[in-house]
Amino acid sequence: MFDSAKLLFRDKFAGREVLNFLKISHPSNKCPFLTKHQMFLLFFFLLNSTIYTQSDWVRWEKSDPTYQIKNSSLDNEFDFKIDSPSDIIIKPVINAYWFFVSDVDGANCPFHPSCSRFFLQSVNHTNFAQGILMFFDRFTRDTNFINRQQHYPYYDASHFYDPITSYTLNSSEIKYIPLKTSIKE
Amino acid sequence: MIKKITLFIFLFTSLILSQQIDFNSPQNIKLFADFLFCNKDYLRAIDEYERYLKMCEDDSIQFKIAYGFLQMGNYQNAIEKFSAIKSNSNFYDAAGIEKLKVFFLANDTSSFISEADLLLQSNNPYNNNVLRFKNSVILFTKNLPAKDILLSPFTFEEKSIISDFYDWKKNPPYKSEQIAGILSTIIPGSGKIYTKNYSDGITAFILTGLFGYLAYSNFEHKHSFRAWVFTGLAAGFYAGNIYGSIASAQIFNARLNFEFDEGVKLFLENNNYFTPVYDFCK
Repeated sequence: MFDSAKLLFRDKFAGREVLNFLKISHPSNKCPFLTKHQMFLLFFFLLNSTIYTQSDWVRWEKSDPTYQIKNSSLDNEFDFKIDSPSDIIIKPVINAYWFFVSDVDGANCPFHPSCSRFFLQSVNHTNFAQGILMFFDRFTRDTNFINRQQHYPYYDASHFYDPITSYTLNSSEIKYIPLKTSIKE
Repeated sequence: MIKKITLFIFLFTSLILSQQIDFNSPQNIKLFADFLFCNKDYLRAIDEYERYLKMCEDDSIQFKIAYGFLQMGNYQNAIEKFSAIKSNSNFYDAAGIEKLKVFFLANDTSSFISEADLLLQSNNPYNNNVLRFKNSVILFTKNLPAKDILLSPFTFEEKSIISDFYDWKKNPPYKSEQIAGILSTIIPGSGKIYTKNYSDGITAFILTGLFGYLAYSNFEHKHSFRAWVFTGLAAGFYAGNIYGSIASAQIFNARLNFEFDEGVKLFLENNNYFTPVYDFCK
């Protein structure tokens, strides 16, 4: 039967690949159905299926997937409203930074809120001078890449949570969050 | 005829011997509610117990309802139900100390203290537990009594733990905000190192030093615009490092307070809040 199949394929395709694939009757072939490459591929396929398969402990529940490509510029709320004298300086600088640098370069700040938002929030929450000091302190901490997980809780998989309320010098505003916990606002 | 008789007998016996369970009888409602309660399905257990109470009066069920609300974190209802237990009930004394637990878990310290004082004035058999619970909760407040008075109701093992908490509360190892600020003024970053924030301290030192050097170097080479830019940045990082050191000291102290509170809470939890252990689910 295998010989007839071999002939059939030879007639139909006349290709060496098909014949190689059907090394079914070759006496030197230890595995009659698969070549070494095919076995290798099959092994990887099965291995990956085993590794990435859904485990029993994962709870099956309704998912709410979104197929919209995330646009980081949407996160930056461009705002030209001047509410205070400090906004005359800050708003153009922040908007220009978001438009020319942040949106182009991508969200690279390891913290949530990002440094630019932190600056904006701290100026709004306190005053211009204190906001500047808070920003310089934040920028120093941003530059330090060593052992961040020992200082900040997680916001999500790739960001640390560092709210302005911890740095207003008002100790009643500080809400200590244990390390290695994940905060999602 | 024989077939008819056989069929009749079969149907008759089926009717007579069929299982007849009255699922709505008080006993079965209670059994089902007990099952739910022991499986920690308190919400449904409470519904069933309330159905049962409409038919029969039972103080143990009233207590279980209140206990169920407590376990669910529904403190308002738990207080109401525990307070509704009459003074002639066997569960009256236990309800008193359970109410303390509710007040504590609801972070209502003032109600906790006043309720504990009321219980201590009565002849509650759990008075020693109440006193231990109260003295543990006092550790959260600022007005601590003398150490001997605070430790007196505790057992030997508990005394050593409470003694450590007491000493911590009396002399907490806080970091001074002023010292952190002054240190950072003298050497940038040293205030953060003082608050055990070593890497941030070193980063602050490097940044301030780097921009200071750039400013100096540019002034020396007569690049005055660049020199003033770097001077501004160096000044910003320097002032920010002083500010950050003070904030770092505050965060350090907040972390200590948090760890202390969690430690006392864990101690209370491990001791079951000094409440009795009930054998509802034997």
